[in-house]
Amino acid sequence: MRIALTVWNGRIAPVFDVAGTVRLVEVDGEVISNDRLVSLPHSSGMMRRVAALVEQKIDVLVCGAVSRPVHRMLADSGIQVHAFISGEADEVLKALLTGSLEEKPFIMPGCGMGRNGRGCGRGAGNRGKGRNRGRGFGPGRKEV
Amino acid sequence: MDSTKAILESISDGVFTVDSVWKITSFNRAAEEITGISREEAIGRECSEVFRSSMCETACALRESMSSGKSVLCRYGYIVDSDGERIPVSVSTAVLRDENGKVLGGAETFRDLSEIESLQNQLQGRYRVGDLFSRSSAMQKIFKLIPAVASSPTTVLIQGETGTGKEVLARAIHSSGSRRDEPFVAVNCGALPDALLESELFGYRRGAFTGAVGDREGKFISAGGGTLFLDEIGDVSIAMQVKLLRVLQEKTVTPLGSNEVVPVKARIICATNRDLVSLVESGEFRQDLFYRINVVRLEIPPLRDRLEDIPQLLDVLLRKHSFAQGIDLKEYDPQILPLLMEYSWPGNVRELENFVERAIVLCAGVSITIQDLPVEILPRRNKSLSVSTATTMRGARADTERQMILAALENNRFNRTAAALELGIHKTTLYRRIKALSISLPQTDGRS
Repeated sequence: MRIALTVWNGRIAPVFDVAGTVRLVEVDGEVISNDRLVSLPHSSGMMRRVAALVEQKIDVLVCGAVSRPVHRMLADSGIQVHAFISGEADEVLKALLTGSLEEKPFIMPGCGMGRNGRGCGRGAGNRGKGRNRGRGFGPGRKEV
Repeated sequence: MDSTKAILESISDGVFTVDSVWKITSFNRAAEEITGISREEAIGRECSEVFRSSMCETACALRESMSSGKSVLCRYGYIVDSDGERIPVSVSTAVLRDENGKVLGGAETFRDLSEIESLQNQLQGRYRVGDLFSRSSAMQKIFKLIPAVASSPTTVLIQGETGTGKEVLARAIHSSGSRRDEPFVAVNCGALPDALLESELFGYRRGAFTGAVGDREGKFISAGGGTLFLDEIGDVSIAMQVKLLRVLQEKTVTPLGSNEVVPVKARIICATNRDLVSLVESGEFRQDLFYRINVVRLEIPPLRDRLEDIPQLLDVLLRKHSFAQGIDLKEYDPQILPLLMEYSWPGNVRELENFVERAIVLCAGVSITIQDLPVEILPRRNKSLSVSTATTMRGARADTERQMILAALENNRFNRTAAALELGIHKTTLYRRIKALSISLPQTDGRS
């Protein structure tokens, strides 16, 4: 499996659309066989950005916030996208491999799946275009 | 302290503060609304993972403020909210210090610009109908007519030089009216010989002529209740004009080889780059057909008469072709604008579009510069004389003479005989003037 993580300062980069560096990891079973950094040129167009990942034959992408059209482009290219993820890249990779990535510490703020969260990027592109759709602030989910 | 808090809560700009390790320490109500993230979730998290802006990685205003100690005002970018929506924002930042001047962290205010942006887009909309963009007053007059023309079934004549966008205007009329869901069929009448044009327009039945092995529906019929666009109507032969006139008058067609009369429901829009009035005068175009199609006449001005549109057209065409070719959006060096505006654009918008398409392919960098311009657009250095800076009459004359001689020599690859011929002086005079004006010449003389 080939995994790409957009990284910045050792953490998952906050916004995929402008991320400058991708960490490419190849995994055989549970063993990491290759781990390297590749730069994504700044000012690079979104289509080229997505194409660069496709060229690397990526199966899974882990990234921070991503705008909806780009998310759709990624999904349409057959890449499995884990978006709106935050945290130390090493820990995120470990969580991905152990299947615990969708847990609270790695989800960006405002993106929880709870009563007041909106599950950012899950089912990207299917929601309406209204800016405030799905918004609203209740008391907030209690910290567990 | 409480009043500061009340003020922060009441303003419409988002405000947040960070400590020295980039963790959010406060987050006001407007910040919650703009980002869609509640205060409880934001506080204690990494600034960049809450704010998620296009500036975080490379152009963080807060980082700049904290390292320089100075405020940053109005930096533009966007944030990606929890819905994956890009929200345009402007940000300003300041450093927070304790009473001893030690840096405690920073404060950032940000303003949601999406309302302003949508207003700007609406404003842009005033200069746009369909795929036509223009700010020029002549085009604005046409834009104002389009709704009325679109809603009536009347025949329209569009006149304009080649490449001005006659078909684009026809499509805009088509898609602004009630016929928008019906077909838009375009036929270039100038490109087809009579017999072909006839079967193309009117259709035929099987056996109407050798090779007519099946029935074929003509364009008048296939346009249905939509629009039939007859381009280059001025190039149609007199014989064909008679047939067209008949269709326009009777609103019916009879396919070749058939006795059946089929009603025509489509609206007809004709276009030509020729001056129909003078064609009528010279007998090349039938007067009765001219009156029949000249019900509403729209005249598209050539690009050289609406130079104010060039910057916007450039933006639109760059976006269109960058997208079509699947490459990064190219920009243009503002220095090329005066050159583009000086050029006469004989091929009009189409020529501009071809230029953009070519420049996108050939330009290696991010920006289209003077190097990417084709020779015909580049200023003809040797044809225009620069103004002399000499103060005396004699000095000015010598300057002008020197420039003319150099230009003529360059034009003729330093062949003295040819240059003298171009200047209209004798070769000997040219040699004398070159010597008198001490013009230095290269070793080559253009004879080999």
